[in-house]
Formats: sequence, structure tokens, C-alpha cells
Amino acid sequence: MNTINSSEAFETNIETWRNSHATGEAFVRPTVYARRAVPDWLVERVQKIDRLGQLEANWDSYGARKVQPLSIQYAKSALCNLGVIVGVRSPTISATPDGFVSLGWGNGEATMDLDILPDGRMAFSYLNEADSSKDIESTTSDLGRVIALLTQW
Amino acid sequence: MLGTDQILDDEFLLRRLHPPEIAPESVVPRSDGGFRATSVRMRLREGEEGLSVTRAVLTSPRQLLNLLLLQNLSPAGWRVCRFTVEEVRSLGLMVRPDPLPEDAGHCLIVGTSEVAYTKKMSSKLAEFTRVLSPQEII
Repeated sequence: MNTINSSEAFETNIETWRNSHATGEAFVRPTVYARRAVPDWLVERVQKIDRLGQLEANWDSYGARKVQPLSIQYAKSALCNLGVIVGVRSPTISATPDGFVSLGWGNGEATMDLDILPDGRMAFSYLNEADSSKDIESTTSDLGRVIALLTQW
Repeated sequence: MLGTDQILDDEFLLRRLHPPEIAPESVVPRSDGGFRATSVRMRLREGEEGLSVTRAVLTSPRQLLNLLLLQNLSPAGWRVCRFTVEEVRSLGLMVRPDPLPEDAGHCLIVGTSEVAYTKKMSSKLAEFTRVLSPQEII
């Protein structure tokens, strides 16, 4: 669990995500806090996502597809929303062989891959090293669900 | 001649990783030092039959990188990660020989009727990988 410094953060209204992206899936939504300032890493990470658009097909030598422009746009939007949440750290920026932007996090105990699909949905794979019963692989439009995973480990 | 249908547990498998100059990040630090491939680099494309790898006993890391020339790509900056057949099999996946004219050691890592090659599998496989140092690219 992240330690929250109340002088740096304030509770934000996660109902926004719940209402706008509700999927009907049941899970515990934690209280989340928004940073008062944009984190240092966010601009550089967003620029890195933009550069994925310059890749030609087969950039990995194994037949990877060009990264889809809509995936790039949705990924930048998702990361800007995630970046202001306390506890969400700088992700690795990558692209899948299918041409989707993929954001990755790891803390030694768990890993999370978040693929941004060109229709705005997010395919995520959460793996818990210590307890595989907590592993989740799913697709969602609900950024709140992603935030819940990224702020609870 | 070493048979292609008899792949031993202790054999090393190799896979290329694109250079850091290309925007997507392909490696992350290993917990015990060095680097490993990211899980995304071990993913299959939609419709892809299996993950392309090469048997180190038949194709060296240097040869694997030189194959890039056939695709009009420069090997400069590319890296190679390595893991064992035993590690692949420990996940329930199979290593199937798929020799190519230009790469005798080419294989595919595929799922079975019991175990599918899922994203979870690609993550677990990535954990096994170790990126070779420039001195090991021979």
C-alpha cells in the first residue's frame, strides 16, 4: 500500500471513471489520490509513446505491425490520467507485435502489462509472483480498474 | 549431425531484441543483475503460430544477428536474449523445430492442447530470459 502524504495529495473523485467507463465488473475500488503536480517522468513518457508512430512494419525483425495511430492517441490519454494518480509510477513504453502501445509496470512482486487497443479499450495482464490466484488477464474500458491494480500493490 | 527433432532440456534458445535507439523498450533489469527481455517482446502476433527462436547449438548469437542483413536491417545495436529449453517446458509449452533455409536452428515455441501460449506465458517466459553481453555475442 502506498503511503500518502496528505499535504501533497488530495482525494479525487473516482466516481468519474466509475460512471463513464462502468463495465459491471465487480472489484474493490480503493480510495485514490491525485498528485498536485505533474510527475517529472510524464512528459518524457508521453513523448516516447509519440515516437512509436515512427516505427516501420517489422521493426522487431519478427514481423511486428506498425503501431496504430489511434492506439497512440488513447495511450497518451490513458497515461496522462494515470500519471496524476499518487502511487502510479513511470511505466516502460513498448509496442506489441500487433501494433498496439503497451505500458508496463513491475515492482519485483507483481507485473502489469497494459495494451491500449485502437478502440480505446485496454487489455491488461496482472501477474502476482507470490500468489498466482491473484493473476488477472482481461480487457476493460474502465481506467478505474487499472488504477485499482496499480495503486494496491 | 545433430538431430532437429531431439531438442535437449539444457539447450539454449535465442531471440533477437531491437536496439535501444528504437523507441519501444525491449529490456528491463533482472532482479539478480543484468537485463531480461520485456514480456511484450515474447508475445505472439495475432494468428502467429508460435514464438520464433533459434537453437544456440545450431545458430550462434552472432549468426542470428547477421540474419538481419537478409531483411535489410543493420545488426548494429541489436541484442540477443537467451533461455533454456527446460525453462520453456517447465511452463508446459513445446519447442517445435522449424528449420529455415537461412536458419537451421529456427524453432517455434508453441502451446499444447492443455496449455495455451497466453500473455501470462509470455510474461513468465520473459522472466527466464537473460540479455547476452556484447562479449557473449560470438
